[in-house]
Amino acid sequence: MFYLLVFISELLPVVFYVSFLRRNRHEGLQVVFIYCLASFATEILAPALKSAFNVSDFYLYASFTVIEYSLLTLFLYRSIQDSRLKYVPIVGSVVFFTLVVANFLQGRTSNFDSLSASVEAILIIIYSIMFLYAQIKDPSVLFVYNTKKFWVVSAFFIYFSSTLFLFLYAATFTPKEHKSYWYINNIFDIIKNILFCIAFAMKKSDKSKNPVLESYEDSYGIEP
Amino acid sequence: MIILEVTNPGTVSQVLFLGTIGMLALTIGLIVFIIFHQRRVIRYQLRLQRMEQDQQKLLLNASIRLQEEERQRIAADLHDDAGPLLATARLYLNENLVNLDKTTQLQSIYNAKQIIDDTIQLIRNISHSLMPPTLKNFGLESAVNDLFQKISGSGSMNASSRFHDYRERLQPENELIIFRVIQELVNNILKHSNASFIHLTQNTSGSKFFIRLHHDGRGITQNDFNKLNKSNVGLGLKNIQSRLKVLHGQIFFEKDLSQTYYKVTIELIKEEMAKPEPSGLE
Repeated sequence: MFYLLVFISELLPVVFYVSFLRRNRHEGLQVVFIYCLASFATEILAPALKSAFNVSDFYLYASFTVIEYSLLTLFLYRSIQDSRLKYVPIVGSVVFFTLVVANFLQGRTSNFDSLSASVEAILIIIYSIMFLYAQIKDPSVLFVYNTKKFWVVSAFFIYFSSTLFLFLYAATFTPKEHKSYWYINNIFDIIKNILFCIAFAMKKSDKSKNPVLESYEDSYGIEP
Repeated sequence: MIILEVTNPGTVSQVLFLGTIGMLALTIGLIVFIIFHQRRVIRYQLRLQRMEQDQQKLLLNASIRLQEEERQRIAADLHDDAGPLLATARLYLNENLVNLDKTTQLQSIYNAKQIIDDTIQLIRNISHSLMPPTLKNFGLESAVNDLFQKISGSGSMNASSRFHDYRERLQPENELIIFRVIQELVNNILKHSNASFIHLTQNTSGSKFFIRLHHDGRGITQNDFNKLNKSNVGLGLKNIQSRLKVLHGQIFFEKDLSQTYYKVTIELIKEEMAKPEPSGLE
């Protein structure tokens, strides 16, 4: 029942994005949609790949981590407007991919690629904080929660913060422990998908514009 | 990475549970903080904006009232001085003049001419007070020197001015704004300070243009100026403020370091003054 719920929650953001396509066009959420598709596809294809080609869990998780990191970093890189902060995802990505390659070359030591997943979580948390910091500094945004990107970034932020400890320990788990602790990941995965759905279903809002700036623009004829 | 070395399953689940809860609490706390912080900043900005609007309103009212006062003064000058003079001239030239003898006729015409000359002079004075010809023809330096010579000439006060770096004239409308500000300040000093001297200097430093006025009478400090600006009194000062706003200039009132003199500094940006203003205050 719980796994069915997880499965449905993976499907929901895809359905929401397609249903509210007009609202999500030109909002820079295509990358998030691709991520949701990849996540859903992994959920479906993982058991099939495991049984048909005898692919190990380690490589499945590691591949998904790389795809997930690449897509989320691309989204956050495009969302951060401050040029001084933009170099951080670039430097972070160099570090991440170096670690991933090194980890791959070292070969599998357990069923879960703990190092890549943990570094990914830490980096995405850092980028999310940077994005939120940039939002605070941006005077053109009045209500940060009226923007779609805020909900998407909050989803990553909550998901990766909550699963960081799980990813850190995952490599040391026995299959039994893995099964009993993995519900943490599933719960926050559901929360993340719900937040994605909220972001996709939100109307494009002009109300989030800062009335102070608007008033100045009206009074002094300043171009926004 | 010490926590990773924990191998006891009970401890692992405890660390995992506490770590997850801790991170979740931190994350939610941070998000909530961001939302509330942003709202507080916007509220603060709105309050500042309201205060600025109130200040603008005060300045605008002051400007309108001054304009009305100026109109009333011109109307009074015309009505009380030019009107009776012209009426008297008319009396001398009325149609009964033809019935008088030649000597009386000549005397009446001479009197009427005198009155008309006086009226011309009066109208010229009114016109000059509206737009000083020296300012228009020779620039700010000459107009200020002229104004200070007149004050000194009256014997009530020793007034002097010196322009150190004024080789190129500013835009005429900007010169007029600065002249009006100086005129208003000098008027205030004459009216309220009981000073025995006023000294004006002009100089530039980098991109800034400075005009400084010193006097030895009773003056005001920046605090007094700010208070007067926020209140309904101090019409002249508000007028100065609104005129300087057009040039993006600033004014500072302070007591000299020796505590003997009051100093008024007008700080302007050279670039701003070289630009023609789309709508002057006059």
